[in-house]
Amino acid sequence: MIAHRALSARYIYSLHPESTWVVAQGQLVVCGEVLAKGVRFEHASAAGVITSISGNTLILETTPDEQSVQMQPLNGGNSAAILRRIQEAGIVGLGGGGFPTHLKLLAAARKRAQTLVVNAVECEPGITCDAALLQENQATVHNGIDAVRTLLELKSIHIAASDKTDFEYHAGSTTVIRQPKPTDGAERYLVERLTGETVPVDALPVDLGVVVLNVATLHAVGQALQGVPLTTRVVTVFGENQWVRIGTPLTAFSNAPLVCVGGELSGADISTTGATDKRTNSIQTARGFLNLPCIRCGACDDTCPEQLPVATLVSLAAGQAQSTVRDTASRCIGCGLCNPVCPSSINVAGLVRTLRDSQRAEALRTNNIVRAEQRYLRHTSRMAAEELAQAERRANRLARLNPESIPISSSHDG
Amino acid sequence: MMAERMTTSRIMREVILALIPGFAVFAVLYGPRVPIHVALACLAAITTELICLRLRGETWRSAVQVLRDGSAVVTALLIVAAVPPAAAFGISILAAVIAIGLAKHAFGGLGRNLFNSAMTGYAMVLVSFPAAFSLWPANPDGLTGATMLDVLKHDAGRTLSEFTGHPAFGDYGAAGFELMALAWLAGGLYLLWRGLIAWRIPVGLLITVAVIAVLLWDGGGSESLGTPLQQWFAGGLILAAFFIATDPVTHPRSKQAQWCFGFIVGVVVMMVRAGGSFPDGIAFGVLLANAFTPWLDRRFP
Repeated sequence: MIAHRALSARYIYSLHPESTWVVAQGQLVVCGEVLAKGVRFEHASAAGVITSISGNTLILETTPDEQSVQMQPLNGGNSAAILRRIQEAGIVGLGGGGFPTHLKLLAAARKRAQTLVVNAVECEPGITCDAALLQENQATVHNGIDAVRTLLELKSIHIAASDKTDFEYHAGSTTVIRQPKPTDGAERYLVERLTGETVPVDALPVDLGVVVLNVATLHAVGQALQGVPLTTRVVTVFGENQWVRIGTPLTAFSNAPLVCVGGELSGADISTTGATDKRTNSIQTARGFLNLPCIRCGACDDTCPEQLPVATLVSLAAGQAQSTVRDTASRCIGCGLCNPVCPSSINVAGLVRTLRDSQRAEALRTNNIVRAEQRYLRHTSRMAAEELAQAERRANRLARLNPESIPISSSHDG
Repeated sequence: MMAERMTTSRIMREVILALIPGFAVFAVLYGPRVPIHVALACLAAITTELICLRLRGETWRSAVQVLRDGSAVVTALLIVAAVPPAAAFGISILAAVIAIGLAKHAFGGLGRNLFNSAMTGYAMVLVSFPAAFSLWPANPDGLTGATMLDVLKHDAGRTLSEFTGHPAFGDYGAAGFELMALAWLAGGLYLLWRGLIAWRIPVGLLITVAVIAVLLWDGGGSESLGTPLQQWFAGGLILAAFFIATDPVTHPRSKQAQWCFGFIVGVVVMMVRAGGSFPDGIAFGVLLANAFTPWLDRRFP
């Protein structure tokens, strides 16, 4: 049984550029109430009062009452309603990517993906949150998979897990990854291993008709269908799996420097607010780096599974101009294998990740495809909203007749 | 997670360890001036490093911390290995000061230098005090005289077979040098086995030297420059191939670029050996190839 972490005194949330706060300072909220709307929804993970909103950071002080609000369960429903539900439940890639799941599934639907890969391969030593979730909450994961089956015309479902995980799925082939390597969890490597097809470096698995979703993401989808927004997730906290509410301050775990995504190898402190977010899959003590001068020994080049010119990227990150290889950083899969081999104790993976993220952000700003997909999504969302409004009117009529059914919060009207 | 963790100071310790057999043979052949050169050059290198680090704004504590990486000692040892023991002690001291002060810290310290620091210091004293470098003993017994490379270059009156028994010639290389080269080779192979140096550079360099030597060999005639084996085991070629050209800071990264790098060093060495006025071309080969490194990195990413 995965334990629930005790309530924290405060929770901290950060806003993504494509979303806006819908609450005001001083407002009382209950657990599950919407804090931000847009491409990425955020929900209060506890009942309390909003004590401060400054720019992209919102702080919630908890009150002892355990009031919470849920959405109407979604039974059946068409593709647009399911996608909209996934968006409104605030679901993003929980494996560490943090990409909005409804956008990923939308792209998969448009490319007619026929293969679903459920990623439960934990390639980092010491992280077991996915395996724990897969074993304890199979039914909800099944519901999430069923929702994806409604969205996509799936021909095959692979469940990729390490050999330590005990799991059977009725309608898919279970693929067991024995002794997973640090690269096996990366989408492209996983797809190659399962389907035998190589994903080109400038393409995504979805271009081959394969959609890869983390098991925690599918669990969240399953919960969203039952009306529960994403306010908590399983995190491996110093080796022990716990349900941790989104936005838990890192100081609630320890005062030492912490990494909150990935572990020993790829561990990064991605937190800008000093709190956990939806990508947080582990809490570990950060390893110190001495960051001595690079002697260009090339150990990082030799260990890189993507064969990136890592040493040159490091000198690029240090401001030594060599721009010809700059673009290669976007191919970094973030496995972190370059860190333990560095004789100068440089945070190589961190430097390359910073380069990669700035490039991806740049690419997103200029990428017409992404913009077009967001337009398409807004359109389908509007259609779905009308349908949803109808359903709500029906439900409210029912509620008037039968007062025991769950009321719908006004903030969920869409 | 790793069996053992490589650190910069550990790499430097391994390199010093690999230099020990060569220095042992060096000292046995040429006497107590060798350890004195070593001590003075190391002292000069460490002092210069400390002063430069202080000038660059490091605290004493952090300067000592940086010094512990051992790279200054490696630089000093490589300089001493290239300076004739009979030369004035000031030669190796000056070379060490130039290497650390100018080639290393003026370029930004460890990891930032464009040119191999030991070879920069060595080349500066070589061109400034050429007389000191004619002091290489022709063989361990004699005082000073023409080394085998000098004889091969300048004595065009005799064929190769007529040199048998010449005091500067050993069994397969140059007298004295061939033994030292074997000891450097042992250290170099150790570094290769430990995975600390890029194997393509020594292999590329030795192949290039051998090919050019065969082209210039002409079957051992009077204009011959000696057999490939004699070229390998003369001067500082083996030392340069395994310890100097393989300085990771100044050699390029990719496989093709490393082959090219070894080739450039080899060509320049053989050009100097065939027609230059200096005793050997190692320093010039390495420095010229260093100058190609940024381009090679760009050309073969």
